[in-house]
Amino acid sequence: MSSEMKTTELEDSHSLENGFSSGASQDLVYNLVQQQQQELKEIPPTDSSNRDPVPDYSNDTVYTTIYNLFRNLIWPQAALKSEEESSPSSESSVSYYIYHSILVFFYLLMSIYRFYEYTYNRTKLRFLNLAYNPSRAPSLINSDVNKLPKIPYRISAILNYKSEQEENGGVEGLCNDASEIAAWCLSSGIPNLTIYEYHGVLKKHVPELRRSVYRKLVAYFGTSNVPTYRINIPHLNVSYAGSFDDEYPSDQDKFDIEISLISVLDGRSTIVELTKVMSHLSKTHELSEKDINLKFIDQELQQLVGHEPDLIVMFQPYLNLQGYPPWHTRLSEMYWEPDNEEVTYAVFLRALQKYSTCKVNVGR
Amino acid sequence: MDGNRRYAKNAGLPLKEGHRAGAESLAKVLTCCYKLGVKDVTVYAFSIENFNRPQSEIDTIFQLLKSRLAYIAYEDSPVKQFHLSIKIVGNRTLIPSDVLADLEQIEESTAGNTAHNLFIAFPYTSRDDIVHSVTEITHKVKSDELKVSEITAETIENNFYYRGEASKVDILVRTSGHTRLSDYMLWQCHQDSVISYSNTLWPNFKFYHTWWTIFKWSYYKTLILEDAETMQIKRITDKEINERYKEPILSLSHPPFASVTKVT
Repeated sequence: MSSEMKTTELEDSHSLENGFSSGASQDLVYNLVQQQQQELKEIPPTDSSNRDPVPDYSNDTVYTTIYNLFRNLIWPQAALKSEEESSPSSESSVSYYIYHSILVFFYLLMSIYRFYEYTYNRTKLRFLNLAYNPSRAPSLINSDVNKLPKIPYRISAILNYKSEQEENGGVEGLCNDASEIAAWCLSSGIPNLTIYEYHGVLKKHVPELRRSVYRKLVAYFGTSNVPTYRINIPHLNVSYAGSFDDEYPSDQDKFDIEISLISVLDGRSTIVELTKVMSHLSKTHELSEKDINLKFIDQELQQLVGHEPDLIVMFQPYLNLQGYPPWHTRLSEMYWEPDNEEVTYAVFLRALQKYSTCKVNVGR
Repeated sequence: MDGNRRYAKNAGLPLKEGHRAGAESLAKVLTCCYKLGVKDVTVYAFSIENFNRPQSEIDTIFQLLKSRLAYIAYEDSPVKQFHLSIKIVGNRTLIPSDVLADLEQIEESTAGNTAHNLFIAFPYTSRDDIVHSVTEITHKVKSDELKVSEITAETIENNFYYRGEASKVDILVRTSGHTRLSDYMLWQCHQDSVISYSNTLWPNFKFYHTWWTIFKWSYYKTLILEDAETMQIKRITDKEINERYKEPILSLSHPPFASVTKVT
């Protein structure tokens, strides 16, 4: 299947000419950033202190929600803080409490609405999962996908590390999810997959991932013709071809699927490193200031992190990019199922369906 | 502000009317936001990619934007009571000089107000903003204002067109049903911001929609705060930690040892 053909309309919009005046300086910048990047440290998943709390749309039960709301009604935090600063008259604090209780009443109505919405979403997901069950058959997935008018060329999935105690959690669960998505991508003909996981757990467990992908592909495609794959870590500039036993000939450079692993380090910190290197080089007159333009930075970041994905699928209950590389989210279509927490084929297929209906104008 | 053209098409109006309806919607949304106590609002008025549109449409948009901003700044409109200062964020070199002069005049006349900010992203793309910031930094390093080792994410933020006035957005609303960012605020919203995609076209985006978006956000925010309080994972400062654990371990008393080995 010629998947390149179908992407032409997207490629046109940002086709970059490779006529570079300073190809040498580009490589120089790339190498220097690469060196600096390798010294950066990933944040372990146990360390939650440097992340802001995000709206958790589903973890609370109804009772904790209502309990929290009542706590807020009785001890409003915002009120206490502002009163310390400017001791207001009793009159204004009475009116504050009246308005505050009206607000909390609205919150209570909201929590009831949320309860119904949550139940509805979960029921819908359950039905969808029953309706779209791939049963590990690539032909089924392929026939689902072939109904669509267009598919993305590069797809990206945001996965979440769950704690070991949870079902399908830990490193094993993450590897399982990643390899499952890789198998779905292969069955639907998408040749590029980027997996984003905030803490970069997968980067540290490449042997497990390679084995897991191999097993999954055998389960989907049989032992006789396992598709070829390569796992890339752009941040460390390393790539691993095939499973653990390295069965490919060393000169092979065309693979059925390329899997890239990225984490929060490939986001802001890469841009910061790039800025450092470029400003250093321009100070030592190795890079002229005129060369620093949008095209140059784009080329560098493509080398350092990868191409921008056409579609980002989030397997989480609410939309949150979690520090996904900002440069790369420019025109990416985003998809997530409200209140969904699992990596399931139904979500993947619905994301592709959504993608096939959208039109990218790029300003026009 | 997306969906003006589709609004005009659906209603059978000329394209110009669609943009006019969008400009009117802006005033309503702004009033609602400022009444609810939002400090800063940024609107994506014109993307750099929008220069690909026909010249007549671009002119219409520029004229409308100019007159709308003049209305907000000078006339006795409902928005005026909020004492807002209007600031242009974006690549000014791309604005025609006559429009730019008018806009800068508006900017200047409202510069004294500090209660609220209205940022007009015009003509703006986030990638251009990042490139702008990087070149600024390079320039500063070259002229020895800044050391290479001092460059952090904050440095990049401070050199945006915002000049450090907006680090992270709490809520980003994209109207008219598209689920992508289209090169807007990529840096500001990719970490723990709430991105809300609405199916409403921008001219139809009224008080109710604005209120609902902000209300939903505040509902979840309240629950998070309460949860953090209950679980006691609220951030405590180093000072508080030091106060709480100031006693060294050796000074704590304990019952006498009872052991078969010799206690030293």
